[in-house]
Amino acid sequence: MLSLENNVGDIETGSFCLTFEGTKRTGPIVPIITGGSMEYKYLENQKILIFKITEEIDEFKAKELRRKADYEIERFMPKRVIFDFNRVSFMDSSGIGMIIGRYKQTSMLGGKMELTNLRPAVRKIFEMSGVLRLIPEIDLEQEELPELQQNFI
Amino acid sequence: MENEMKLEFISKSNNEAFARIAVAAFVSSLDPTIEEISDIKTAVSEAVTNSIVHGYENKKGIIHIKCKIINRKIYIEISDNGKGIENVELAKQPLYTSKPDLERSGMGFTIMESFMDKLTVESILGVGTKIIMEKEIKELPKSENLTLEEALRG
Ligand SMILES: Nc1ncnc2c1ncn2[C@@H]1O[C@H](COP(=O)(O)OP(=O)(O)OP(=O)(O)O)[C@@H](O)[C@H]1O
Ligand SMILES: [Mg+2]
Repeated sequence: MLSLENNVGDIETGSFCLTFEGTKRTGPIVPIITGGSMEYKYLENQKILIFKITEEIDEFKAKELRRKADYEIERFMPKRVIFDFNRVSFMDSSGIGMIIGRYKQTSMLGGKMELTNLRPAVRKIFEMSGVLRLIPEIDLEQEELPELQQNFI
Repeated sequence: MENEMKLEFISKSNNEAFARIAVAAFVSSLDPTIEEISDIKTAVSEAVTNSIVHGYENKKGIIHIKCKIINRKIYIEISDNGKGIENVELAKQPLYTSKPDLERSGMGFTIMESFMDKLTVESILGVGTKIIMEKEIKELPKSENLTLEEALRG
């Protein structure tokens, strides 16, 4: 089981520390980078990039999320990109534009995208705009990889 | 019950959170549910974002919010003195956006319309835009209601 101790990575200082317990690890993991409105985890063997958004999404925050997500997607060129909305309690239409934009970019690089842990208020907006017909919502509990079931921090 | 408030702030996108939280706090005296508060916050966020992104096109301007509570209804008026909308009917169509390059999805008016009971848009090209929305807050058994702290957090 992968676990993160207190001194998790900070994007500014670049210092981080990961500890592993047990042997379930299936491949190198690029650690979670904290700081700002989003954290991410990259599973190198499976080429899966997981973003966990940690704040409300409006136009102000969407700008920052766009920039950060694009940077990581271009850097890793993942096969799967998962956006975890567990901590997103508020989102307006700026979130729709932000997610569709990342979907286009991920598809262009040959990957697929998924959303997870949508709260009712957020799901309502994605449903209304037809986003869920384009980008599926998945249940991480149903995933086989332990790293995907693992919660961030 | 009757109550009224006014807010004025400059068109910076980091004021969006402040605007929707202030309106949510004002409405909380009507004991709204989590869903009602969330709908109102989203609708306010849509109108304020539109004033910033389309009305003032990210240049500096003033956004005005007026809120009124009459009985169990909340009336919210959000206005700017920005560029105005040429064709309001077209602008209100789902998925219509004049700025697809900025990753807008054209869902703002559709969200305001479906999350609130009523939406009125008044706009004059070169003069500005005024959005008036209203919503009735249903009376519910006490346990389902939110406290002010919960409304602000949620
Ligand atoms: N305050 C405003 N001033 C000037 N034009 C506006 C204003 N509000 C809306 N518009 C016009 O109406 C169109 C539709 O607005 P709407 O909020 O529905 O979509 P959007 O802002 O383009 O995209 P989204 O809200 O999904 O990010 C806008 O693209 C813009 O042309
Ligand atoms: Mg809009």
